Amino acid sequence: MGQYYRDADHLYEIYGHFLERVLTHERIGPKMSSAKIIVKFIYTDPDCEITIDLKNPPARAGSHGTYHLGPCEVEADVWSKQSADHSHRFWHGLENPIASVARGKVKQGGNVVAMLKLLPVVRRAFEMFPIALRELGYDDMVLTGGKG
Amino acid sequence: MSASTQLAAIGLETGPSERVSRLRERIVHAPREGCVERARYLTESMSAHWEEHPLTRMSEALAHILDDISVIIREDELIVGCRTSKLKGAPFFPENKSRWIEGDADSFEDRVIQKVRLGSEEIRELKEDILPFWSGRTVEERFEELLPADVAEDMDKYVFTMILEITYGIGHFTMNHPRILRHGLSGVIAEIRRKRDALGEEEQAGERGLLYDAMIQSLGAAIRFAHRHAAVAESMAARESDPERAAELREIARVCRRVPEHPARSFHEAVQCVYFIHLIAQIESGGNSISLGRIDQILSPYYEADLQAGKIAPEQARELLSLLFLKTNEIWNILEEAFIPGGEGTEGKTTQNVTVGGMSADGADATCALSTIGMDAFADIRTVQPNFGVRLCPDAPEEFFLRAIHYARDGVPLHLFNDEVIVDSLVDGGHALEDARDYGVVGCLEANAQGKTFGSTFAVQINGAKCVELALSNGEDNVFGYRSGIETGDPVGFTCFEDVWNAYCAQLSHTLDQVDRGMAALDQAIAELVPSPFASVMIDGPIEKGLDLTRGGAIYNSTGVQLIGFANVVDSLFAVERAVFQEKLLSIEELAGHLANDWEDAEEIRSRLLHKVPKYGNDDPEADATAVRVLTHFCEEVLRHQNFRGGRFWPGIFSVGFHVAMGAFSGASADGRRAGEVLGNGITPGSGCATSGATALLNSVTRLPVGRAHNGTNLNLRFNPRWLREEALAALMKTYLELGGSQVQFNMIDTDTLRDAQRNPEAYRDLVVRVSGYSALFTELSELAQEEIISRMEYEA
Repeated sequence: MGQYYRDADHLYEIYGHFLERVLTHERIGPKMSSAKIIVKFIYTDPDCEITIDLKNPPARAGSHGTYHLGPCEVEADVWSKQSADHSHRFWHGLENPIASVARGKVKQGGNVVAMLKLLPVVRRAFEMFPIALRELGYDDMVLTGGKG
Repeated sequence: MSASTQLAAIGLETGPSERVSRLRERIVHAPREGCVERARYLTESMSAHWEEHPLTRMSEALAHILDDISVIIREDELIVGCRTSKLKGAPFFPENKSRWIEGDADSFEDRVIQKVRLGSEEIRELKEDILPFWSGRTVEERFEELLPADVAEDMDKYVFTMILEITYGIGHFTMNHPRILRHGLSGVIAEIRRKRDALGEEEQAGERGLLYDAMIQSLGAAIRFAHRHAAVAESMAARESDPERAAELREIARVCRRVPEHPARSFHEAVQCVYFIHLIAQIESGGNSISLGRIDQILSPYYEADLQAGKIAPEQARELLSLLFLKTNEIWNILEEAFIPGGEGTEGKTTQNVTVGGMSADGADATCALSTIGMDAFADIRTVQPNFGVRLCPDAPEEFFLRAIHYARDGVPLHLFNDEVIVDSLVDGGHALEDARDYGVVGCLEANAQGKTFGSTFAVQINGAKCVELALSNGEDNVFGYRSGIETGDPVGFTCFEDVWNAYCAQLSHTLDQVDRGMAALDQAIAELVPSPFASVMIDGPIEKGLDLTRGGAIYNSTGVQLIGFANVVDSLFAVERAVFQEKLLSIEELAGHLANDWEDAEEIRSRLLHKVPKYGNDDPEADATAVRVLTHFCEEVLRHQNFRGGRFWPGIFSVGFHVAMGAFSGASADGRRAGEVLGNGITPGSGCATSGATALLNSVTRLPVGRAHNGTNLNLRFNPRWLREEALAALMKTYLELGGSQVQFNMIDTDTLRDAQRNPEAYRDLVVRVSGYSALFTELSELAQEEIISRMEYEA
């Protein structure tokens, strides 16, 4: 098991809240939906899958996309596989995405070029992730450290 | 005679032969496959010889590969030779980089872009039998050992890239084919033996002697490789029931027994010899963009002799050249998936250049009958490869120029080169005048002395737009929020435009210093581990100096450094000067804030900067003056640096696909561009920015001192063919060349067609577009790259 997440339910709790926050955010949400892709994030330690559908109409009003916690039937355009710990550090802005791919810490497949459309939202999302953690009472999971 | 009358007189009645049409169909529809044969034999040989000198083990490995890889002659072929056992097969080069192969192998077939077919047994062989040997022995790993830690950290920030040399080697060269055609490899071997025998005992045992031994070993293997083709052809001829094909196979066998071992005596032998040499160089190193060069000048003596003797007709030469060009479409390299953004296109940067026309070494026009035949031969196939260029000098025949215009208008994916500008540029870069006049083209559009240059022309790409971004953020990356540049001052403290300019210059200068140190490490790793004894024979210099190409053996050595996002640098800096410091529409602090927040709540000012501030490309003297300043400064900065091989860094402004990828990693810019949007390609104005028409655009572009960019510049023009008259295009291009334009390429496909191709890709399998200096199949590009091409200004003329 990794360093930060107890189990899959723990990860789904945190990422579910985080995605809820960014997909309903008045600035981040519209930018995410403009990517018009379906991305599957595959995590290890714990093994989890999260699919974010930014292509089809959102399931709920007020949200700019739909997310699925756990395996689902939605076919993704692109997938990204990494350890849950790596993802946790990434969303704190502590992992360089280029280095992560180049060093094999993150594997991607499918329409990888389409994933580039999400880059303009990552900085805002970095800001939101610690907020989401604190809102759930996981202050001890908020990381600090040098960037880049 | 008017241009239209001359055009009518050109006479383009004949099209491709049935054989050419059949072979074109076959290669266009061939699946892209991987092939482990080269990697297998390389690894077998390296396992046995690893303790020997790198020169020795590389030549041993090449010999083992050439002695054992499949030799296949396919139906209808007259020009033979293949790099793999598959028709459109890509070999692997694990000696350069092996980790990515292991990581990507299982998902080759699942790719959306550059899908690769590879059987499960071949994947197993790669993973179990081949790749384990290379762990700890690759160029990549040696590079990582040598790379300073701070440069390694900066590489990951994507302000610059310098990784292309690793995956497949440096490549990007033309070879001295005329020398091989005149002397044959047996003659060259004799010359090298004389050199070796003249060495003292100690030198013979040293690196110089080992190089000569390695060269001789490699050339011997090349001869045997050709003889293996002869044997296969003889065997096939014996079994062939069709007497016509049997005769063709016997002729193939005869030719392969003759060349490249002996001097060529006929056009067919010369074409086959050129292809064998071209092919083997790409088996040895796989270096991208190994190019054929001035094919008309190389082959013309053999064509003329055969013509005089009544042994060949122009249409036969045209067919053989088409077949040669089609063979280049079999050669491609697999890109690692992580680097597909930036390198889009089906061929994995294997851009093999050919030129026709241009001046001779004495400065006279050298356009000949074969120049025209070569152009016709390429027009017959219109494929992604080769990257076809037409050289034009002041004395070029009008008919030749108009023929090129006709084909360009007709959608043939060619580009034009202006000899006057390029020759002056190469002389400015240190070439002897005669060598500059005899330039070949490699990569996308990089000109240098044919057969005398090892100029790693696509070594480095620098994101110029990111340098402006960092200048306006005190070094902080606006996309990720971390530090990507040096601290050049809080923009709040900038009181005049020169403060911004100086910050930009400092960011660029720092980036170049990092690149300098990184390239030194990379080139050293390449020289240590993967010397190229075969290619070292084919380029002038290494035999005379007794020095491998990778260590500076060639006569000319350079390292290409490209500025990506030129138009955005220009338009952003001009917008800062005009809107912030002259018109005071907003403060520099406000601008920096808008850029950091990707124009949130600032649509009005963004729109004003985008639409109201003049842009480069509209014949606006002030905006264009900024463009001149940016280009001049970039070139001066790049030229300060020397490379590992004793040459200099050479500046270039062309982007391949990096204007898409680097745009994705760039924050908002002061020209009104939003974060993530594509950057301008080459010296082409930003998409949608050059709204004053083609003439105004060309006036702007020709103000630039493009000759200072010795590594080349790229201009993309897109016309709607429905509204484009040939005469108008001819007049426009004539003016462009007279005003000092260096290079230009065209897309002649209207938006409706491109949209239809997006919807119905199967119906447009062979739709070729020009990206930025090279061609690609439109339907094989990512949506981002497709949209960038569609977004380009569409002119009428």
